Amino acid sequence: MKPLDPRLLRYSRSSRGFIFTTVALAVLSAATTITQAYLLASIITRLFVSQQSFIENKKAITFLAVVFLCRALIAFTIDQISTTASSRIRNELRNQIMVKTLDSGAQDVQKLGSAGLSLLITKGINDLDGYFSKFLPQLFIAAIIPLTVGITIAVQDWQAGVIVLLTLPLIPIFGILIGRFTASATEKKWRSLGILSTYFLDLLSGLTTLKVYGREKIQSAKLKEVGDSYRKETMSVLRISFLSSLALELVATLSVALLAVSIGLRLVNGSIALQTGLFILIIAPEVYWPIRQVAGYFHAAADGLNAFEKLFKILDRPAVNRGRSFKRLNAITWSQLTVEYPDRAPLQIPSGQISAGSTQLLIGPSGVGKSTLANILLGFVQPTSGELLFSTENGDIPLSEIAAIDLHKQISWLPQEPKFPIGTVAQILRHAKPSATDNELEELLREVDLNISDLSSGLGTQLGNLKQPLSIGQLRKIALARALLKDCQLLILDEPTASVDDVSEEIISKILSKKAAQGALVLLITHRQQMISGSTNVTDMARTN
Amino acid sequence: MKDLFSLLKPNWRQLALGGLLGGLSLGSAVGLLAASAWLISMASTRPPILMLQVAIVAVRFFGLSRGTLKYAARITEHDAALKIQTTLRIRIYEQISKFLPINFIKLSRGNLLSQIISDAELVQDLWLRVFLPWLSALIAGVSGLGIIHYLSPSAGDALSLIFLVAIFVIPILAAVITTPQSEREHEAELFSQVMQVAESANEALIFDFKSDLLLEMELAQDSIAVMQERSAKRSGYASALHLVLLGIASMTALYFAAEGFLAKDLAGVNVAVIALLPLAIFEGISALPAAFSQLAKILEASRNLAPYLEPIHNLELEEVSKPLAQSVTINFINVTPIIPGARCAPLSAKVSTGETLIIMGKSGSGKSSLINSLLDFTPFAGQIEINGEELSVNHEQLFSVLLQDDYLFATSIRENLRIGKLDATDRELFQALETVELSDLILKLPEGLDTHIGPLGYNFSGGEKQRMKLARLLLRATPVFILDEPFEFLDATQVSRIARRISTILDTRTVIIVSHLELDIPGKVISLDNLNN
Repeated sequence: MKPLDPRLLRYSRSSRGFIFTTVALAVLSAATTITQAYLLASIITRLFVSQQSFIENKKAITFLAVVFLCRALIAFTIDQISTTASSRIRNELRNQIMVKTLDSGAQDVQKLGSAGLSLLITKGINDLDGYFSKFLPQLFIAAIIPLTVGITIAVQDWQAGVIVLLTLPLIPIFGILIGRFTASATEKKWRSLGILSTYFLDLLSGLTTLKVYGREKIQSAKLKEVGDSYRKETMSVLRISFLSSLALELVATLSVALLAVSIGLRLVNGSIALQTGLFILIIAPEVYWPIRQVAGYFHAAADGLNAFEKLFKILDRPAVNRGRSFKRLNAITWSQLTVEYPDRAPLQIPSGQISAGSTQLLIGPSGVGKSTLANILLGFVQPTSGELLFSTENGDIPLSEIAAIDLHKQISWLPQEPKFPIGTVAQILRHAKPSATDNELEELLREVDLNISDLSSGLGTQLGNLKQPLSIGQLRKIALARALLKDCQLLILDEPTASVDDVSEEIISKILSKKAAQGALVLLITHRQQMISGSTNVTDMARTN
Repeated sequence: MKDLFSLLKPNWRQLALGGLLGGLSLGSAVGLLAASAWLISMASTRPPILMLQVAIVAVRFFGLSRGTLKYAARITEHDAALKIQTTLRIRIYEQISKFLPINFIKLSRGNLLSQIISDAELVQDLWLRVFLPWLSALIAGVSGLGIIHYLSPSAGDALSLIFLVAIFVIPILAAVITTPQSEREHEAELFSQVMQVAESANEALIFDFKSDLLLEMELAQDSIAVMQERSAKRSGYASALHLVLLGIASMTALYFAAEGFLAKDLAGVNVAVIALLPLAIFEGISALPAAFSQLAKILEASRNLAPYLEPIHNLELEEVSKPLAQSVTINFINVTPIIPGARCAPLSAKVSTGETLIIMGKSGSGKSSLINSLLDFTPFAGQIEINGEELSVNHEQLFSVLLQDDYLFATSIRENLRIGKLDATDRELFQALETVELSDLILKLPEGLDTHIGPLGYNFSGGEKQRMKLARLLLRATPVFILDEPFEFLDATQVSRIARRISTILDTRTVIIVSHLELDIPGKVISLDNLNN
């Protein structure tokens, strides 16, 4: 990650205006800092050397008061602008990332886990606050103030100017060197933080299991162990980062000391005026401070920057543009499909063919690739090799050439573990068919053997993240109803009776034959013997090889 | 709040040391400025170099000590804060583990994560970013004002007054005017929205509710943005006020320095010292407004955590190990689980050692709730007797349970299985895996039993996970085994093979199996559907 990534400007409009304003304010801020130091030095000199009274310096002191007020105002403005900009930029990024994630379906969710992805999008993007509201403004301040102040010092006293010129580059040089050495450690910390949060969530999620096994007490000892090792790891990273800021601070202190000694010696032999000496002494820390602060904020922003890389990985992914579509699906043929998983031998899916107009059963032992085939058809998983053809009214089209949006329009699906957005039963069902009437929905629920009077508020019963008092079987019935409601060419049911006796096999086969008779291609994935016996179109994935 | 401070107990000395070191570091900055101002002023009177020697040493000393002390302070503070963090997490965990499952199911998963992780981290800021910086600023201020007071008592008095305002009024003001309202709630809301989007991304594509999800997420983040901007404005006022007070302090210092010097009360070389010291004294305060504006947020987080923070006493003493009866008879007498919004028929059944009770029924018929009643997770009407006595709470040593939402942890296979038997050898583990037909697969994995389960590890299928859970259960040695839908996601031939094997292994135990499909094993079958009619 570069300190200022051009991609940021591309993905966030708000960041452009923000950067311009920050530069303008940094210039103003430099001017007030210099004026304040100059006024203080000159007033002190007049009091001490010319033995003037406070009142005699009325003009300069009033001016000084105004400068203090201006500084307060500028500081306030920078603060406001950076906060506002930070929250706007973060929201823009968040929106874009969500759009991108949703477009790619399960890809990111699978890679990072839903908690991992959510953590990245909420906490990860929030961690960027340090970058936007502190680091970025400071970067501009650091680019402008040291230079301006350094030139001012050189104008006042060229010898001091030379010292500043020689010592100033030491800070960024040291900073970069230290940064090089600490980069891998920071990366490690992000990872271990992730592990710890996951560990804590994991523990809480599995608490029921631990409880019935009587193991919940052992886990608090484990938690302490993990916490301690996390602390040690974090401290080793912090030690490096604190040590590096100490190193930078010492470089700055030594540089100021060098200036002070040279000024002191020249004051003793009278070759420099007290006012100039005081001015340089007051202003000198301002030369070194902003760059040091950049380094400080950089460490604070480092966590966020790590998120940046992950975010851009998602944002930079090119949109897939495939153009072909279809209205009518007659058959699906696949051969030699292979899917590669990390950490697992590639899965080879036995070839096969299914055609529309009847219910197609896909059976086979677990692990043979039934669900994977479903995921390929749904466009969630890309096979690494092999061929999958859709026979349509437009001829045979390879799946990879069908526009995702058109594919999804023609497919309906009952997942193994249905997930609902927050909403009422009616709202969720209407996602499948917005025009469905209440009567139609109730009729459908009856058809899938769900008794509406079992739902606390009928069609208005809330579903979603908050655990509802519905049984897993009832939820699956709602998901089945949703799958049936959608007008589609391909209906995929993944283990419709996997977890409980959602719907009796009879009802399912009745509904499915009706659906198939309407011309849809119905693909039923199951391992139930009972289901298999009654059906004629059976593809046994274990035998087709 | 009381519980929050009780967390500090084991580490308060380390925290206080950190604050002290931080104060000394800021104090060094004060000393550095005082010494250099004196040095420059003195040098301008062209004294013999020797006279400057002490000041030169002082400048060097303070210059080095400022950075070094700051380093020491930060290390000390952060180490203490992380220790407190661990204690905090353990306490939260222990508190939640006391909850009945029915209660922690209510805390939705997304909220639980965001609430606990972020609250626990935020609470840590109370000492690290609020209290300790304040303490350090106070220590530095007192030392600087001490120097001024020594040089010019009247200047010292006047500046002390301004300093008092700055160190007490500004932070309080910053803390009071920023009321974060429900920013946290909105953040939790945003998290669950995003979690929702992530979890239902696939279905959003197929059923086209993408835009609904995005809209809800945008609403959540917009309200957060409005709040953040509002609270930034308020903390900005406090920061600005700080700079105004610094200006006033500088003017006051200049005034007293001028008057004192003219009245011959103050040595000329000290004019610059007094005039410049406020800059250093106020530096320590400059970060306080931003820090204290977070106070309300932190306190809100600590209030949210409060129910989880009570220390747990005598955790170990609860475990009263009764001698276990070898033969166990469980008698259900008219048992009806009490579930809001659902009706269950009362069940009466008896199962003894060496017997298997198979409870069948449709979804919603209350099969799982019956198990939960037996485990005391769900309230119920009727009576459950174990060996003629009423059900007691401590059941881990009596029952081995396969829950329907049994959980596999994101750790190695070995560690997951060892939850079943802590000291199980690899041989025992493979024996259990053999029963559920997993040993071949695991032997083939490059890392074997050390293979990780979960998002970062090996991608096991639903059936494989279910069998893993069964293997874990079979490692247990309790008189009673309860299996809730043990053969989900398994294909039919596998079910009958594994069921028969398990039935043989458990033939000397009391076994209760809940299933919606018929099992080809010996046992008493009760169907809840028939009871309902």
